Amino acid sequence: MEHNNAEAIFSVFDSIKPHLNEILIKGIESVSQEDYNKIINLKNNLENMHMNILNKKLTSFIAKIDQLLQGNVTNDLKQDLAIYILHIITIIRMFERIMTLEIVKKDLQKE
Amino acid sequence: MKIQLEKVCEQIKKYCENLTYKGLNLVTQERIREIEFFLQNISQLESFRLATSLRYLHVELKRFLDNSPAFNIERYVFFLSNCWLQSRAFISFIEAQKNNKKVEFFDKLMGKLSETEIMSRFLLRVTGIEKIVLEGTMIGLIFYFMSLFGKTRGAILKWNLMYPYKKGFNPDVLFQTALPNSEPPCAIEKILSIYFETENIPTAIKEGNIFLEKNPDSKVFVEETAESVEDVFSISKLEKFYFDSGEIYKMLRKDHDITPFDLPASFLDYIYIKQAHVVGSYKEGEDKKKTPVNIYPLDHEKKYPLFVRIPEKDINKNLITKFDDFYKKSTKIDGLFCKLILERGQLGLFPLSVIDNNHINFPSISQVHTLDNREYLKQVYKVKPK
Repeated sequence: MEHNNAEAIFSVFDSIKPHLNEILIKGIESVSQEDYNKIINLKNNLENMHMNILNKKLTSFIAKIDQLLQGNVTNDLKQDLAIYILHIITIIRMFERIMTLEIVKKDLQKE
Repeated sequence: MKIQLEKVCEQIKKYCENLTYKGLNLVTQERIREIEFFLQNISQLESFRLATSLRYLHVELKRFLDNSPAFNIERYVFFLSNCWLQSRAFISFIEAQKNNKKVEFFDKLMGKLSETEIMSRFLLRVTGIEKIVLEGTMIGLIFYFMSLFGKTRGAILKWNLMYPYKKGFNPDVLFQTALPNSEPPCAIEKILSIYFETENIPTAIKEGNIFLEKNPDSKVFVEETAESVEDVFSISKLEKFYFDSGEIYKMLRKDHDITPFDLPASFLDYIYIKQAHVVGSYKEGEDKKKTPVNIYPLDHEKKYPLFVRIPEKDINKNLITKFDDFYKKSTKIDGLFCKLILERGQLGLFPLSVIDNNHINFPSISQVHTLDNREYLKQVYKVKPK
């Protein structure tokens, strides 16, 4: 496989990480409408790329952010939001690993 | 012990979730001190993996609080996520044990290392050198030795020579420092080109680590012996690392379970490549807030895709210059001995030595490391290696 193809796949993950990092620095409690819109865009991109597991998690995360922005803040909601974002980070980590293995295996099989 | 571990892990999990919700802006010295408390408890319970993640989380939070340019958001997120995952895993394991369910991988999660045993004799030869800097905390060299005797024969063993990080410190000067337990006493550079024997060296066989400096009864013999007469390294000894694509494919199928704890880059094995030719040069990650990586795609005798990957760090300057030259001059490389690493969809290589005209060279180190290093050496001798 050309390095450009592998690079294209990994650039998807690269595009998600800065948004998550930004949220982790400022804290989910400070998420604004602007951040919310960015996450919705991200979700649409993932949908187009058929990254379903990640997309599903992000959809649940967005639903919880909706509640947060409406001011329905409970301790359970705080914990749920934190857990969702930590789950999303874990999924990305695992995806990166799986993609690496699959791309490399495919390259080797061509020989 | 399990009850204590469960309690501390609950606290760590909650701490990570709280940090995620609140963000970094409200982090205080007092909040960071909580990690020190977790660290004490977790270390007492000998959960080394979680302790390591907590230590790095502590380092990154401290850097953030100090406005240090060394703060790295990706590293922070990685260790935050690790602490959360590992604490959750412990809680699940303990729960499973309570319900008499079978618990696998507990030792792995605890990060238990194999016991160190004293190896009565080694016959060794340096086959690779790597300069290393650990998150701005430690800096030094890793020596990769090929073992030529006994039960470790043919294996690669590592010796880490690390010092506390100091800006501007060039690990090249370490070649002029004393080789621990050497007989007769000599500088480390002496072992770069000879076969040498050792006695009573503490060794972690599974991890492939040897500790030349840790045991006062250890001896490193640098005088010529019957076996060490042959000074020229026999390149054929690297043949066992000359893999074809099928062999690497098998390694991938056999050894790679996916777990949430995996690092983005993982070491697969050592590899020897023949008749290599650098066919390109580009950088990855230049536009992002992380260390760019210099990438050199290779043509080689076995044909499958390989990419030399060298992070753009000061300590890698020599390596990068060397590979830039290989590319510009279209040099045919007789042989490369490397670490084989899986990263970003590539079989990546980190070069440990270059074979040229039947001689082994170490491209990471400066060809001349004997010039005006007195100031550095004074600093090095102030601190004992860990």
